[in-house]
Amino acid sequence: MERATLTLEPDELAAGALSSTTVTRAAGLFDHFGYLVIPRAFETDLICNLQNGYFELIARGLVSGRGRGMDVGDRRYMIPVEMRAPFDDPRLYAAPRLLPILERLLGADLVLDSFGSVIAMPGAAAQARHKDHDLLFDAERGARLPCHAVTLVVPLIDLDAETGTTAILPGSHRVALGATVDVEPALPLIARGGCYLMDYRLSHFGTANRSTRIRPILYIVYSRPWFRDERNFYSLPALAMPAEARARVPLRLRGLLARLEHAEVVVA
Amino acid sequence: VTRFFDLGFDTGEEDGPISQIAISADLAGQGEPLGAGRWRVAVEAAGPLGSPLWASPRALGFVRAVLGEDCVLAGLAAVIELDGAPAGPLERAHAPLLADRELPCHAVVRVLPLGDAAPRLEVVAGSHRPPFLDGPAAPVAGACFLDSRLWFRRAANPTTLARATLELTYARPWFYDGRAMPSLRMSRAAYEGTPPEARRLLLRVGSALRQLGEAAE
Repeated sequence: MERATLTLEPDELAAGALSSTTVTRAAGLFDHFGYLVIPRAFETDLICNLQNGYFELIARGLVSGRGRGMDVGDRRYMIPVEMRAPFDDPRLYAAPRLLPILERLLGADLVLDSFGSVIAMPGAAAQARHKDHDLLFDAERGARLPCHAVTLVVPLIDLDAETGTTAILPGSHRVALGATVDVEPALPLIARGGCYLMDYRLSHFGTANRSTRIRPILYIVYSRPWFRDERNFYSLPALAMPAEARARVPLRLRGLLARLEHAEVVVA
Repeated sequence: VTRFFDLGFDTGEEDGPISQIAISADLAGQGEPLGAGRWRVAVEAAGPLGSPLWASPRALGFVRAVLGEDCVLAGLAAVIELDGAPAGPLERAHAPLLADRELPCHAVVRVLPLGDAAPRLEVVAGSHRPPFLDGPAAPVAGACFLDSRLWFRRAANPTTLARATLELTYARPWFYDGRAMPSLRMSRAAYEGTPPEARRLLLRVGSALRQLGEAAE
């Protein structure tokens, strides 16, 4: 069992919602360790739909002609995914077992900053240790601030010792990249339906894929409304949802997807 | 810059080509309403509103000292005020990022009055820091830089003519301003014609053009 694992109570699983006690416990674990593993966060049928949808995209040459995305290591690619069916399911991007935790960490006005996938091909070597974004302002100050963004990782296959996973350095969200963190990496090996949340400041790396299967994960980055990741999305779109899917977004979730409504730059 | 940190604003001579810039009063009624007789309109960053303006040596030196070498141009707009427009309410361009923390500046608004010399703003000096609002607003004449968290009000237009004020926003690269209006308008030709040193401010335009190009392929 990982150090920062949130086990949901049977009544929470049945009701599909979290008690305030659980939300408080989850936020405390996340703040301390910088990550949180949550088995059984999603319904099985949802993950099956996502897995089928993703493999269909692969069969079609990957994601609406946007190419293979960006290399993020040996035989490892970051690939944008348009939020169209099945990836526009509110049970995914506004999961009732996760959203209360995210709102506690980032505030009620949190937004989706990016949505996509990372795929580690069979035989992919381990990544270099990294943080997804620099600390805000300067390393000393940025490490002391409350969390400004959270990555939700949703594996589309069962993660085991062969397929590999993400190696997470617990507590590294409180230090600059390269600073010594004297801890063993956490290795969340979880079955489909589970997920893990990572503070955007956390040091981590994808481990090798020693299996003969591809290892795809979906990532969804939630942030405070004033933060955007300009570093990883210079060439790739951070967030894309076609108009027909946008029209189906429940009114209560429009704020979460506010980034889709505002162009920072208009090419004249 | 030291004075700016203390007070949240800084005034001084402008080195951009201000005298060559004219904004038509016909833009009144377009863009985002800012109360009685006043509108904010995004204007294209080209011609007289090109890099000699937004990347003038004084502007570059100032915003990079405050926001870091990797800061970006995040917005370029004109505020059009009809003759007799009354003073606006106290406001600020951006709320503090974290209400309970004292943080460095995340964005600077550069205010450039065009035409008459009457003050365009009244500012509450020091209100960019906790407790964020304290003391009376005092008029600021001429061009100035504001910490975007500073409380200010738009001064009345006492003249008999409509007038325009340019507002340029510079920000740390990760800062997002979620207001509904387009923040920056620029053509590919203007981007490609921008000198390399100034182009570093155009990270967002470069990203938009790159993504448009990829989507078209």
